Amino acid sequence: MSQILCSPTPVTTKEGIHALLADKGGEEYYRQMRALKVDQNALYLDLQQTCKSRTRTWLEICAHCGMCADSCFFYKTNNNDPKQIPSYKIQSTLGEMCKRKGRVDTEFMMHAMDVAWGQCTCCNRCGLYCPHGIDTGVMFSYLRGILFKHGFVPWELKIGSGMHRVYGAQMDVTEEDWVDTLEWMVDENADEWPGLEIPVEKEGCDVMYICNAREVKHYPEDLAAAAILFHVTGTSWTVPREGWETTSLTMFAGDWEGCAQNLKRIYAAVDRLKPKMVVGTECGHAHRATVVEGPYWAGRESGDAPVPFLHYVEWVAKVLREGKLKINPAKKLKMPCTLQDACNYVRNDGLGKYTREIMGYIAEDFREMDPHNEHNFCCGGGGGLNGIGLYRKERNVGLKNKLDQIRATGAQMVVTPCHNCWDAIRDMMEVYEEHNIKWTFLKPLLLKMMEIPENIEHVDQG
Amino acid sequence: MPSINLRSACLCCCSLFLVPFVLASPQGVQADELLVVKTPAVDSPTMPVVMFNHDAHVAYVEKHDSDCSRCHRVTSEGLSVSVLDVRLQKADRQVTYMHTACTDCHKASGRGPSIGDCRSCHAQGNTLRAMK
Amino acid sequence: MMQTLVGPCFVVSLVIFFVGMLVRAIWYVRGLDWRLERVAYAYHKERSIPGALVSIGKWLLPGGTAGWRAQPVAMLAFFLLHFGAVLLPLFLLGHTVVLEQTIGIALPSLPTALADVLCVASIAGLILLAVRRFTSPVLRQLNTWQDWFVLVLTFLPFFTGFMARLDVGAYDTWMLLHVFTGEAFLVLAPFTKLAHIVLFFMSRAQLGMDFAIKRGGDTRGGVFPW
Repeated sequence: MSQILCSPTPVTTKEGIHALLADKGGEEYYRQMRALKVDQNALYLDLQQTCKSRTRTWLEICAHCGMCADSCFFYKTNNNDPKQIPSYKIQSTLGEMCKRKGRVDTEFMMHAMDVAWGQCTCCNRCGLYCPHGIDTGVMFSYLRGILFKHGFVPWELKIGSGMHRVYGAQMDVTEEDWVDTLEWMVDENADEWPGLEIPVEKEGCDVMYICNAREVKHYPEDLAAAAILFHVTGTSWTVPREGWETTSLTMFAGDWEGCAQNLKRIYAAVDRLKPKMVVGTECGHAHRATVVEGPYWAGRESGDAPVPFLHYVEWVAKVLREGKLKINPAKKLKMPCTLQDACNYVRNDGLGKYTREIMGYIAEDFREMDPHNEHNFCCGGGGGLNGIGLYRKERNVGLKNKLDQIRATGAQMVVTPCHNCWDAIRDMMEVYEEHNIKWTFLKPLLLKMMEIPENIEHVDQG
Repeated sequence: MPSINLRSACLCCCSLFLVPFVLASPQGVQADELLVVKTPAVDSPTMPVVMFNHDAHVAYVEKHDSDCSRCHRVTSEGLSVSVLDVRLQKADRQVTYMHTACTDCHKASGRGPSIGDCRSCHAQGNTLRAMK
Repeated sequence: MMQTLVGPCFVVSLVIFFVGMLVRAIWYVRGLDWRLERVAYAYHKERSIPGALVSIGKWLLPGGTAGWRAQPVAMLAFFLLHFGAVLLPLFLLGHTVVLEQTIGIALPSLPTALADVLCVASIAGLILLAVRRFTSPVLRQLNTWQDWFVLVLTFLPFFTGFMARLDVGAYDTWMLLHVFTGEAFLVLAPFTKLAHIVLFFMSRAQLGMDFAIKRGGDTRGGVFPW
């Protein structure tokens, strides 16, 4: 008898993670889910305790005006399928659940899961186009929390939530792996940048840097790039030994308890190391989870972090403005390029003005997508969708909208300071066989274009 | 041959003109007169002017143990033309005063238009709609 | 009949309307929870108040938001109805007279020509909304009986009122129907989606505060660009 892979209990052990990982594609996991009973009384209690006047009003006063339809890229890319109207999607899931006072069955919960994770990336765009200000993206995030609590969450996110709970990171990176990788990156780059260091657990610095476990596991060059840029700008910085990871698959999963744990780890690091500010890597959902929503999960009533928390683009704009980082104008991007506005820090934290400030320094032919900034469309892969195998087909359909937007600008390069957007753009180029458009994070561009100050030793590696 | 006196002929013709009026009267008596009722302070009214059946109101008042002082003030020169104390009201209060003066009695008697039946009194067609 | 409808019934329906709306507004505010919604309502008032006001104000202007500009037909139908729907019940001459007589509140009244235009516009707006609700594949997916009920409930006072105003016949009947359907509107409003009369403002203010306090209010520089 195989062990229980699918249940309302979150994964909190290495064994639990490995058991899930061993189940290829979650086949057994989903089979068990189909037999998972719904505790209707508990579900009703959850709704009574957490579905309050804001959400209930949103569900009740929807005037069925249909203005949210065109705002949703799922609706647009699915031939205007009425079942993809944001109002329909939430009314037929959360709305129905509330109407029935929790008297729903497994099939219903699994369908709700399909909608909450496969038909919505929680990009919050629909909230901008509703006259009543009904933010369906927020409601889907709330629904995810309810579904997670009852065990109905996609396989990859169940694992992801477990990763954060066990490793304090979205991947199985131990503290040892982390520090080893840092040392390795210093070694790799010390010849070119004598004096380069990545101080770990140094107190009283200007910047505490936190990042994405994927960088440690899959592209540590990004860590090296961050180090070099701090080095070149003369920034006093450090990374914590624990609390170094800022992403949050727990947020995608609806695991609020896991989210709170992540924040506690990071705030503990801030307490320990007392930096003037915290800078996060180029990641959208990291910023949303840690900076925008995070203080609340950590129980901070003001909604403010204990010290300023900056997204990487805020820091880059700052050092460019202050002249600490100088760009060689001759090395600016000459090809037509465009900018991907990541939902989680542009629409949902107003940082579009910093990314545009940066584009002014680094690009000669910058074309805006239409629409852009707060009104941009999701890349198509946000909210964890990029990583969920069960909805890969649906995601690929949704990617078309962003690809059309990119193509319409005539750009050959997309600057995309966000991990999920970067992945989505990579995938859309592959799926739709578009070979003429490149995409990039900021760090590689900056490394290529920056002017090295006099006082920084640089040895050409030939 | 009898001679037709010109004066008699004229008198006959003139009296013929009276026939339509006699025939038109509902009960074969003189038709009720409709009086224009205006608020003294209002020069350019927004609603059609009120056409008031004074005769019917007089008949009602007399039948219910009251008299002209129900709506008119008795002055040293005789009955006032305007309703009660409307001329003593401030200009911007006069319309409300008129409305109250008329409809209070309608309410008490259970007859006549209510305050919401605007065009029963402010009748465009000058009909006796309100007084059936 | 009319005396009762315009007298005590009117007062009762006004009371139900105002008390009902007040209850819904208070219930809404009392049900907000900074922890559950993750919005620090009590903080950053220098941002949240402008944020709430702009969130409401821009949506009250034709073309005031990207949302309106993206949906010109919906916008047209909405504003055609709502200009009259807001102004006429309060400032139509007959209404002001009745209000003053029954509860002593004296409001200014609209010029007759303007009132006529607004009423025709409202009726046109309602018809447009009905046509849109019937023909749009999006709305057909979403429609419930309540949507039609509310449309009819709103249409009747305007239609019967206008027929009475035209004074072309059966005036008393139109007036009776008008007062009756108007009072039905008032009495049912707090219990239907017509509660949006207050809840629109609550919901929009909340979202405006959300964006001002949490989602970029301190970094965007200015209010949210609706």
